[in-house]
Amino acid sequence: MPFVFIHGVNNRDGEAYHESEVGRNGFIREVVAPALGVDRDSLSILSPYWGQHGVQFAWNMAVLPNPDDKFEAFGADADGEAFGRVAGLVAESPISGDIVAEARKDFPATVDLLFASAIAGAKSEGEARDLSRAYQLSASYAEKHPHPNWLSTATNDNFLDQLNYEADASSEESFGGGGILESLKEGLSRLKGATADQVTAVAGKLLRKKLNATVTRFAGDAFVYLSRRGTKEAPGPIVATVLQALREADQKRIDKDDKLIVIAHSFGGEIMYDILTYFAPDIQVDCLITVGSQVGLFEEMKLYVNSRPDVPPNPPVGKVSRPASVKRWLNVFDTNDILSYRLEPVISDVTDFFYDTGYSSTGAHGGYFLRPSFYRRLAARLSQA
Amino acid sequence: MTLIYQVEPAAVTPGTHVLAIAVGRYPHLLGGDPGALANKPLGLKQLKSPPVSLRHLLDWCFAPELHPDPPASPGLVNNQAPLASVEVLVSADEPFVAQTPDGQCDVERATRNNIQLAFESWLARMRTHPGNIGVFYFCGHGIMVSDHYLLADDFGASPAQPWANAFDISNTMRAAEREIQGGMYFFIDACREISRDVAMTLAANPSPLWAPDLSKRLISSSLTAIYATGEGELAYAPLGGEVSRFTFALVCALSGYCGIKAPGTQTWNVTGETLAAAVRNILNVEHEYTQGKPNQKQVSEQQIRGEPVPILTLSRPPLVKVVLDLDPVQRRAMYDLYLQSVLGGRYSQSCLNQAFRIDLPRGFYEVGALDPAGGLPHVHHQEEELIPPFYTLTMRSQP
Amino acid sequence: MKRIRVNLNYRANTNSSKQLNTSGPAFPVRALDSEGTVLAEGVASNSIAADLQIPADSTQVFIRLTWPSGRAEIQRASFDVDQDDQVVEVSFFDQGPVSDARTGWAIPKLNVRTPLTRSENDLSLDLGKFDRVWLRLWRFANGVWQQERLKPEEMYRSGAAWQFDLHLDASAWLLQIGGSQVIWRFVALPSGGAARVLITPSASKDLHADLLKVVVTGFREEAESLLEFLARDSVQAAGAMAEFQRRATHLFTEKYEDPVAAVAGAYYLLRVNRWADIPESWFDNLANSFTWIADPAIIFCIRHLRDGFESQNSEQRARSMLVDSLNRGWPIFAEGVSLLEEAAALLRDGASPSEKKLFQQVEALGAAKAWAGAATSFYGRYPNEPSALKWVGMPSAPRRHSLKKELRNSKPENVPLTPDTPLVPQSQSPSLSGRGLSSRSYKSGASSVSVGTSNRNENDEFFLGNIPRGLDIGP
Repeated sequence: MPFVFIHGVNNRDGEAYHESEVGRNGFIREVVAPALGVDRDSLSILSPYWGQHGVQFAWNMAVLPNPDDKFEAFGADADGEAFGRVAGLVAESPISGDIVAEARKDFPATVDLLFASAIAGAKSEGEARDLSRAYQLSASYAEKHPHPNWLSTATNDNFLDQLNYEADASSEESFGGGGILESLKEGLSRLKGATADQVTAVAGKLLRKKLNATVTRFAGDAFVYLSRRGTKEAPGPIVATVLQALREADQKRIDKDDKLIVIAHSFGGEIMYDILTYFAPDIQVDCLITVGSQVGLFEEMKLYVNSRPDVPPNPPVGKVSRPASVKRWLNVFDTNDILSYRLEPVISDVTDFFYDTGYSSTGAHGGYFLRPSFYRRLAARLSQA
Repeated sequence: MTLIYQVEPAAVTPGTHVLAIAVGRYPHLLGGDPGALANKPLGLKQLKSPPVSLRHLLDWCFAPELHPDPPASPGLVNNQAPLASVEVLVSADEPFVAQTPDGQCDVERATRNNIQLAFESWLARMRTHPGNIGVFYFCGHGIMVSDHYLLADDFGASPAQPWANAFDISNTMRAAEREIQGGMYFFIDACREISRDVAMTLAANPSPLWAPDLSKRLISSSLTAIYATGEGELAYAPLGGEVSRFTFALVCALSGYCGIKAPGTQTWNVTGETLAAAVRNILNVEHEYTQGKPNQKQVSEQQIRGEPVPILTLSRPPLVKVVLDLDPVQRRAMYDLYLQSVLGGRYSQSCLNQAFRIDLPRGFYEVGALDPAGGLPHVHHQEEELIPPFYTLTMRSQP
Repeated sequence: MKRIRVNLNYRANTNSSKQLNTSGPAFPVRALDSEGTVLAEGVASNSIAADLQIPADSTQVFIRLTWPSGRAEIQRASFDVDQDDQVVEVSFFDQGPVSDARTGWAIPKLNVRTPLTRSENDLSLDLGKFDRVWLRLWRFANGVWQQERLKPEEMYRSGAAWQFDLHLDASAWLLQIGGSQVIWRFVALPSGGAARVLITPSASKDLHADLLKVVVTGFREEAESLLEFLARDSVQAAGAMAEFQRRATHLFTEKYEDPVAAVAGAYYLLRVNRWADIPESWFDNLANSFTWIADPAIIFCIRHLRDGFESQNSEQRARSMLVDSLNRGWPIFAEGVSLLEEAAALLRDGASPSEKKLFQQVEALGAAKAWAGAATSFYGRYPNEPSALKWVGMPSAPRRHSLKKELRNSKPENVPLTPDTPLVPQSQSPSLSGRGLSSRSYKSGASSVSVGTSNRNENDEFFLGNIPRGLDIGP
């Protein structure tokens, strides 16, 4: 059972808050895959990296208006990156360092933030999976019990112990081996560290720079892609990279589990659409999920290889048909994300899903995959079909 | 009451003095008393196994008296230092009632203070004769850094002194070696849910039950400590309140499945070394034969110092649990599986499609598989030494 | 009188091509009756047979020879019931279990299922997959662990093991091993002369066992055999090796010839509480004459502790010996690590701040212990920082080690160990320069107490792949 994740503009050098691949994979396995009826252990996840073929900036984006805001403010190592992600989360949805007080105000949102912080530092897919499973149990528990009795007497020191215990006890499943509590405590520690005013101020500035850089890079990637995407006979490097992963995934289908699922973020959606409509219309995709993507916009602008000015003949009433090789297509967008667009008005038989990342415009574009609740709601949405 | 059994002291002769502690109920840990949760419960929960495990140990201890006809096991038999006293503390969901040769006894909780008092009185009894043997047993939560720390039932009661109601058993042993001349056995069946690298960050600093007096010379003749060291609750005990794996292995070994007869002795003696090796062996075989999960494997460690002072002296050779099997399994039902003792006895299982399981006295045997019809090759191993507690062999019939 | 002479004819020995003069391997032997009762015990070596006296009424006696690994071999000796004076000769050979004489010396110290016992034709270990396992050599000098270039004098590789010889001066030495699937670990090397190291894949089914076993020898067979038994708490067997103290005392008195062997004798005496039979001055001399070994200082400290402090002076003496030992590097033998833990735990109260830091280091060492038989071994990234946290990877890219959950739940035989995927594929990891606010560390289980320093050169790695297959090869 193969999953293919096609990244967008975020996974690039200099981007302080690129999401963690292990964290994302943990959630895909434990939260999204079951909603699609996929065996979480046997599925394989491919994440082709096409970033090195995207736009290169000769002066390293020196032309941005805010040159003094440095990306590398939180350190170059894994711990620094994890902290950077969390600082970004906190800058977007400010909380105090008192986790119990926050939980009393909004228990489910606190659980979401806590697990986002824990998984931001997951060092292995195993750890990310354990955390994802624990998140599912905790999130269900928090939804069912938004004001549990124990919360009224909990302290910051024993909040996690009790959450862990109660969520586990209320479920038939078990969290399994130890280590969850320690990962959560690490996450909480990061959250507390990120709530310091100095940190959130820096994070806020970096996020503003990030928005500028993201838009700039997005435009650059689009230009580079359009000029060098190549042909069916000789695909350009970006297409070739993604196509190779899709072919590999296609071959990984097995008798019992033969679904191919693709998640495409941001510009990854456009790359995917060109592949589905021109470069490799033979590849069958059982479920395509575009997130914060601009697929509809690019068709409006008729920028795909197979875009036709006369197809459909009667816009805006008429629509382009969904590619036959795609059995199901869910498009996720956030109105706060200035780079995300709807799809339903342009392509038929697709579903738009509005997801509120909770971020402001500065962080929304990269915010989807950092939040555990994104995966949970996506899973719920996929289950509804 | 904590002293549940004591032989009337006649002349002062050596005896074996037992102190057994089981903590399953922790009011200040997760799932404990409402509103009483410790400030830092370390993710630790209630345990079902300790009171069950302690009862299993006590049953063995008193077996000759409680079940004499026929005796289920030799029990705590030591002709040099017979059972002299048993002191018990148990914290459990229900009040614990101990069965003793003198009748039933209610038992007090294993709070830090009760453990302290019980230990001091145990030590006092140990001082009465240089030939005394002490047996200390603990079953409950534990933490290991380089030393071992054990949690009393009221662990976590004080936010100001989080480690006040735990105790350092490693330094307790070091202290006891300077207070007591006799031999000592410590069996530490502590559930270690916290990994070592995390335990190191806790700055745990519980006090020992007795502070080592460094002005005193080490006088103990012998000390054996055997620890359960698997990490995680599932490694420690099967779910649902059963005897813990370690205690099961310990009692099995003590029930006549280990012992050695040294030159010049009349009895088969269970010493620290033979007991530790037997416990390790039983845990290993139990794990393999129950196809346990690798992350749930229970292992044991030991510390052995001094001269060998036996905890048990048995009048007959220890037994060995024999498991004989044959490969390929399709041929199993075509063979007689047998053991022939060099002393003459023959034990066999005839043409059954199952492994041959039997308990036999230790010693030397020819072990083999014979086809009564004579068509298949005879497989045999000469001079196999059956050493307790287990002897397992899968013979191969080829071609 | 009935006697059994037990001979050992082991062709596998620890002699290098430089013809070191050693007595060869020595192992305890027991004479048992049909029920397994011990009739007599002794030690047999290639050069000296064991002479066991047994009861006059014995007719059938079994002789068991035991290796430190626990493997035992049995031979039977039959006596004429009517003859009172009889001597029966029994010989043990290693041709069966030992398929390669060059590496056979290590077999008694390894798991009974070690691939070293299998003939070359039966092996399918694919040692090539370990070619990128790296080794580093560390030497303790002037309070600092320095990385030294690993230059073996002889190298040999079979289908089941890599082996190389070193010559180590009178300092504390550590060998470090690591790899993308091999947890970073240190093993103490016997110093002050020739040393041989053998590395072989583990035969253990335990998923938590190290992938590769490291066995070391300083060509002191008798002393090492004794310590191997002690390391496994086979005190009776160690006692036979020590012939219940006589040999241990002898090893001790020969300290000026071989201090490392003397240390073995002293450890045995401490273990069986017979240290008081040796004059204190001998312990003192051992500790102060051989200041490049930590073990004698630990032994002397423990002796003081076990004897009880008569005065503040003797307490101070014990403290200074403990601190002194820690300033000599780590003990060579695992027995020394246990005693270090004991000493640090007992002397913790009343320790000065600088002593407390050292004692924390001992605690970290205790928590980071690994298994290498009698040799000290511990996990960690740096020699002065034992760590219970486990690391894997190449020297320039260490990462935390943990078993994958799906592997933890499956049967050991079917499971290959694969490393965790790194956070970002190495070729694509962004190279952030780390300017601006200082980075923070949120380690959870840190045991990284560091006293002293280590100097390392990242280009001095020696790879197992450097040892070519075939005959002994010099530099």
